[in-house]
Amino acid sequence: MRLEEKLYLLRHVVDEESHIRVDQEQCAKCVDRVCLDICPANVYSYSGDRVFVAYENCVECGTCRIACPFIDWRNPLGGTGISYRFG
Amino acid sequence: MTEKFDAVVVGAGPAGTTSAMVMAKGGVNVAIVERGEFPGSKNVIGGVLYAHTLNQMMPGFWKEAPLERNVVWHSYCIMGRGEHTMVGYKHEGSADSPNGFTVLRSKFDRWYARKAEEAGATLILKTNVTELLSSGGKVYGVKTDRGDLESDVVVVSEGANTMLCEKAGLMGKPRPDQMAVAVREIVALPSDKIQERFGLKENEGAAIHYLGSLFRGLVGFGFLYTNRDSISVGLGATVSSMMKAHVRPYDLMERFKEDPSVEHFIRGGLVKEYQAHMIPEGGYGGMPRLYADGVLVAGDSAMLSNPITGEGADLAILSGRLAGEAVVRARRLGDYSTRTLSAYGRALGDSFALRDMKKQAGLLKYVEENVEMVDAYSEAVNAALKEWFSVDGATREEKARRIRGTVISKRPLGKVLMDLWVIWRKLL
Repeated sequence: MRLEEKLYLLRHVVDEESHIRVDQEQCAKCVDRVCLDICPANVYSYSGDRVFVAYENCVECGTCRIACPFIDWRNPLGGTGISYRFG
Repeated sequence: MTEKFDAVVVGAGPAGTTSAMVMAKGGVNVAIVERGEFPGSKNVIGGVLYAHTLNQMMPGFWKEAPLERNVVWHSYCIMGRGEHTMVGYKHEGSADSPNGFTVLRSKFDRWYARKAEEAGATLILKTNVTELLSSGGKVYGVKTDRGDLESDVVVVSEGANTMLCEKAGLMGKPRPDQMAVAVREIVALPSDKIQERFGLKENEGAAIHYLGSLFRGLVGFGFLYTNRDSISVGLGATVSSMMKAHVRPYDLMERFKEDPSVEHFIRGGLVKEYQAHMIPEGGYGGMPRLYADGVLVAGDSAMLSNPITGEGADLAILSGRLAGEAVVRARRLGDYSTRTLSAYGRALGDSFALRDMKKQAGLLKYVEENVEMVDAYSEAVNAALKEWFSVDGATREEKARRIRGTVISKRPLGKVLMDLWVIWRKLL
């Protein structure tokens, strides 16, 4: 089963504003690009030297925040974000 | 908008809700602030809620709580390549003294929070606490995205990803080796099929922990828990070991589900939900300050989890109860200073939970530094049993000699002795 199909099963209440900020200058210099591997929801992707953040797919585990010092991750606005049915 | 309560609890998980329940029963005007749509909407449990600490709070809770199955079969599966070894313990379930239950948090937490409300706590949903309000080192409430709430004391129980503790200076940001990332899927299967596959009666459940070759290079394990009409299947590993191995959690998950030791249990099931969460694994050394002037920390936020047994929710309940009791006492004394709240630290320190964590301190670090041992032992166990069960003309004596040789070829004797010594010292 592909990740896209799994993510499609999830219920999110999407906020208009992203709760994740990255430092593009650092991202451009980054060699490890650990965000690409570690995020269970594939929120991060690179296009050239720029990182794109699909924050609306975030499942709020916070792992990226632990793995990368340049990701500014906050809880999304109260009542928004992931809402598990079988948590 | 500024409202005043005696106490504010951040997060309606098992720790926060328990503390609020104890406080409300003790006459404390308490509010629980939860950022989700409903309690449990952002929470994931590996699988088993051990009954002991909740039973102390609510004797016989299983008669009314929304639980999945009473776990009567605990098992380890040591995965090899195209082979595996299973070791387990199963008993005739006792309805009067259950050891643990599988639960789904979206149901359980919601029910549990309602119990706290019935006891008199106020539940505020869809509200995110962004920081603690403090003045002169004393916490006096919380700032939320919907206004401030003032209180004499705050219980921080916001889960594994605890930014409030960091902002308040109660701990530094956890290192990648102090946190694990876990992914899980809910695979739907009819309940009679689950009972048939696992050899269970109605309401009985199984818990299987997987170690071995799939997790090569990772400080991690897989799991499988039976719910009423679904199976929770998943895995977790320390963030640092996942980073080192450059493994994507969902790729590992697919390989896990395809392994014959897992596949035959979930075959034909329909994936209903995919989930991810962090597990605090910093152990005793990674814990934040548990109390300060006007603030207490409980549950996952306090790094209370035991990777050996998979305990977490039960420790959250224990810490929530002790935090709640400390607040009730503080209110009676009219003093919420560090000195008064230190009663919480002492009570938790005396508990089995912290005594275990103290003893196990450094165990995970040892495993991470010697991560090849997990694979070596898994291979050795599978190879030894393969040898033992196969009939190939060799005598049993010869086979025993071969097995000894296999084990020693996987890991040098000196290291085996060292491993045994560490395990002895940290666990027993």
